[in-house]
Amino acid sequence: MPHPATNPSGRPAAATFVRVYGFLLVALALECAVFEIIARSQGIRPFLSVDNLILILNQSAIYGVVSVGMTFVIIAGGIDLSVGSLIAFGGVVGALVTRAMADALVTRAVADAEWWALAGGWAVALAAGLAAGCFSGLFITRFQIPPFIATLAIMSSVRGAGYLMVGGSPVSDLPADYIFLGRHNIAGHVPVSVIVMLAAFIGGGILLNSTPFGRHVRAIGGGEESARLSGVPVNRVKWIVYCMCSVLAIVGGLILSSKMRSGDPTVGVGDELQVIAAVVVGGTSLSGGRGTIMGTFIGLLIIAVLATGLTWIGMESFGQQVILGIVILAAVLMDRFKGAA
Amino acid sequence: MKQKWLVLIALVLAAGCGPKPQSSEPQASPDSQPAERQKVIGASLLTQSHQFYRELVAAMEDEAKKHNFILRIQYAEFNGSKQVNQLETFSQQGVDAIIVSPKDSAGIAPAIDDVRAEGIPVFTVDIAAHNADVVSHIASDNVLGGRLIGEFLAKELNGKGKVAIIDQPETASVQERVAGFEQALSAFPEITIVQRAPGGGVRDKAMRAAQDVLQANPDLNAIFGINDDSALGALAALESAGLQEKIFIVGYDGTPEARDAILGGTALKADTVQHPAEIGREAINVIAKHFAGEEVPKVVPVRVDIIDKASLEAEQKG
Amino acid sequence: MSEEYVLQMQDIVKRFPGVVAVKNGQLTLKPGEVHCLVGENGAGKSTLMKILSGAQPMDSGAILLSGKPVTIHSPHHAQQLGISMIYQEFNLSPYLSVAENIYLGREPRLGKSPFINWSKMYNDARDILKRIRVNLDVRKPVNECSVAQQQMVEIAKALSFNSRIIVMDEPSATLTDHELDALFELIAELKRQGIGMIYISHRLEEIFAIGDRVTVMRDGEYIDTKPVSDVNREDIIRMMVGRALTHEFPKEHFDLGEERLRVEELTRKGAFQDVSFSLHRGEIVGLTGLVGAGRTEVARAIFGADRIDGGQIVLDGKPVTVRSPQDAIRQGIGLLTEDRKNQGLILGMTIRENTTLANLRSLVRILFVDRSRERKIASEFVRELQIKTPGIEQTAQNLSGGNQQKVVLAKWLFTESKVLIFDEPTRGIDVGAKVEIYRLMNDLVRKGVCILMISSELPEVLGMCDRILVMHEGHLAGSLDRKDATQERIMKLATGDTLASIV
Repeated sequence: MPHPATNPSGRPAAATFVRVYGFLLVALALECAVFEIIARSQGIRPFLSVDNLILILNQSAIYGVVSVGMTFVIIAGGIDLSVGSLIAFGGVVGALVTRAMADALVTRAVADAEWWALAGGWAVALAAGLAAGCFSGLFITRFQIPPFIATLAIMSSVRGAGYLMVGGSPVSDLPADYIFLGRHNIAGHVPVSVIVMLAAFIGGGILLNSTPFGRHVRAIGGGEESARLSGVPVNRVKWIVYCMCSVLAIVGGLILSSKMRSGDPTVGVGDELQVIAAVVVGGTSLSGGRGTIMGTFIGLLIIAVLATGLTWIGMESFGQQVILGIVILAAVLMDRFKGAA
Repeated sequence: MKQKWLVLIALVLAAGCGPKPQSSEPQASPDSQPAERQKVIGASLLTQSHQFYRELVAAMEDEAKKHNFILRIQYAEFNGSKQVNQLETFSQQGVDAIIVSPKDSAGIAPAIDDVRAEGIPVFTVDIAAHNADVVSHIASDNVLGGRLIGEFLAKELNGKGKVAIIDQPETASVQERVAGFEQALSAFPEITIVQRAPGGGVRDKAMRAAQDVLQANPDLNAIFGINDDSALGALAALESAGLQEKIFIVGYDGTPEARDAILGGTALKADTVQHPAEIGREAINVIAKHFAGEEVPKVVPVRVDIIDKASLEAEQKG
Repeated sequence: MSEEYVLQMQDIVKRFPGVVAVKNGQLTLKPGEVHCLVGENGAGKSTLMKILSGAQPMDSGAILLSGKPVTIHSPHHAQQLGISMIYQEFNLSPYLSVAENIYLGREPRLGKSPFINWSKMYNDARDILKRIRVNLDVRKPVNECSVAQQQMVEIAKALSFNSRIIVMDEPSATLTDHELDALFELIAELKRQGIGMIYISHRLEEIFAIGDRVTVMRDGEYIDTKPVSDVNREDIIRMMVGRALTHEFPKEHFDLGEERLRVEELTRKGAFQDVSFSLHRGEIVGLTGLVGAGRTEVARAIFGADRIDGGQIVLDGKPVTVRSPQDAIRQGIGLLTEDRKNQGLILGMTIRENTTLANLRSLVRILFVDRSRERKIASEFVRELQIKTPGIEQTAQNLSGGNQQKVVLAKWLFTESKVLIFDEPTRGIDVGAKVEIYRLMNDLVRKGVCILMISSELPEVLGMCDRILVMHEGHLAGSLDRKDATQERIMKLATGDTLASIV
């Protein structure tokens, strides 16, 4: 029989983990090794170090947060093209509201005015993301518009809305504390953005693996009609999935905007494809039903290590794009062969 | 589930346990004097696809060789967050100085602040950063350039007419150009600026912006394109509307294509030319002075000139 | 002796890692013969046919075509040798025309040019269709043809290769009775033209209708080959199952209890009108009729999968609103759909996950699914229903049809439904597994569940149901008690002959 029985406790042991993720981990390790060797031969600082690991995690935090939401969407058999625009939109809305509130509160000498303004900016941006997700969900569930089209429309509208709100130029002159999410380090070393990302991954992993909701998401991706006829509230689950993805995209946008202390409507173009790439490299099937959060995390690292590593060894951006394409293909091919073996 | 995370943490630790950097300094290359380590400069430039930056980079590389600096060049390709990542990576690598031409003049500031906190000096070329502590900004005198082209335009119009700007307001250098341009026109009360259309500084968008402008202002006399892509985009819009006899354009940058257009007698009459090679050379020289402990000025303006058909023809003969 | 056979397969052995799929495959075929190949799922029929079609190599044995030994390298090679396969799922390109499909990949050209000689292609296609007496426009796109017509196109395509041997794998599974008659006529025509056919089917009636000889396989082994005229239904079943199946329909009788489900004047426009009936504790009620009479539609409406336009559902004496399958499940109604693969199971999910999907909420402990309890429950069902699988973590797509149906059944058993609707519960399932499903139905009825069974197979309906409802064109044409029901009376009702309906 092709599938050996799992061990009686049924708990995936380390062996199972290696079987499922082994290829990806090998790819990741290979990548690190290559960069380390090149860095040494060129007399650049060694690539492998704790500081660099934190740098890589920090630089992948935005895609990371969004990729958690995207994993849910893709496992549910959908796609969300609007996340790149939402990253920009989240930053613009967060920055605008924070600046307006800060101006208002500071003149009234409210205590901790900047923090209240920051919280207000986050809240309004997240609410706006929720609204965008609701729209995607509405069109996809109620009106049965294919996710590709529905989120393409949201992508365009949200991008335009961001520009309209600020007239094309970035929102700046933000309070100093605005950089908390993107540039502050806890205990001097651990960036807040990395903590947010890891929280999203752990939360997403638990949600997907251990709750009825996660099971329903996989069931819908595996066979929507079967799921519906098994009493799965298909429309509600899909709706929640798109809302989740949009809200997480906004979180990514807030991190980016905090990193730059500016709300720039031009950022995030094409980011949806980077995020989808991380999810797919992580072994999630674009046809739905199959995928893991852990896989996405490793896929994200593979892409992030690549981006940072290529800059580290001095490759310029066009070359980086070529290599990224090759790595995506290689990772997906390896996954195919694993499936065949 | 738990095991998965454990294995991952183990992996992360394994990555972390790689050889720690013995010294933060890069190894000296064999041809430099053993006593003095080669200085490393990281540059994050706006794009590789503009002729302007290609000339700037070529000059920077030549000049860096003379000073025996190692130059590491990255391009943001108009992606602000990518540029921030490039700065962070340079900083992590412990380069000795960073050159940046910001995509987002405000958005780059926090990254520059963090880099400065690591003790690495930052220099901007071509485009300035807002509210950021840079050692020096080396760029064309954009205000002067804007003023010169504005004066040319006013003269061509005989001090009277309607003008539109194909703009890119989010970029600081463009703001300066436009400021200089407006300064020049303010001496001519009968010239009015009827519209500023954002064209993103790229040709296709600029062309669409120009088409809109032409639609909205049938009595327009002249257009100022804030760079040559904008000017050439506007030229394409004019020619497809058949208005090239009625309206003329002035541009900025003096790229080879724009020079050809001016020489060829199209509606593009004149350009402000920058000297990107000089900017690149000057940037490396300023950094060399900074390394040597000399005081450098906060702003290093680089000369600009006006070219028109006559001056180009003279140049060709000479 | 070899001259009389167009095909001989001798001592075929095929091993897969860990399993011997075919131990000693034997099959002979004469020109103009219909040779039926039967056996339960996993008996090795499909593997034997895959070897014949070149899709899989054999480990040992011999294949002789007209007495000459051959080695078949690939499906393409098999076609060149005159062997064609017609699978249950057709290999047709939906938006291309009939003629284009027949000549796909070998279109006649205008001379040596790269352009298609359309007139020749249409004429040739017409000739082939004429040969099998099928009246079909060769320019019609295949997706506008009925399933039966598509099958004809497949057969025409096979003939266009000058095939001498045609293998038909479950050709009747998707056909209506009327279409089946047409298929049989076509088979008779092919016989007259001297083409040998290997016919695989679960429906034993068909063997007696068209077969010349029958070969039975069991567990990869060749059992016997007999002229059809020398055997009866019981003989074949005995050879397939390896023992006499004393009760093909193990019906048990229970005392009728109180009414559980009543539907009153249920209507869905365009599908069915004014359907009223009731189900009682302890009974199995059959719902039958011709395909398209509205049986499945009634079931889906009761289950909340489709909207109703009028009428009422009463459960245990109380009217209930069922707007979605969720509502139905909450009220205690379950539906085992006919299409297990697309509507019953999540094929990529494991047995465990499929089993608990419809009642996951009962396993939730503070937000999370209680995995260990889930595993225990799934294991219990696997044991209780005798699902043949290496473990509960096996994905559903790796199971045979009968075992898949048992997993679907497990899912509904776990919801502890009061009313279960079975839509064609034994379609595509082999005889042995059928009996097991019937037994499980008995167990359910004993526990107080009432069952509505939709089925087109009259022997099954007559054998298992206490009462039989017959539908005709969206109406309930009549209701027959077990003791009064015969195939003839059911058919009369089903075809619109409103004889005295009782109850």
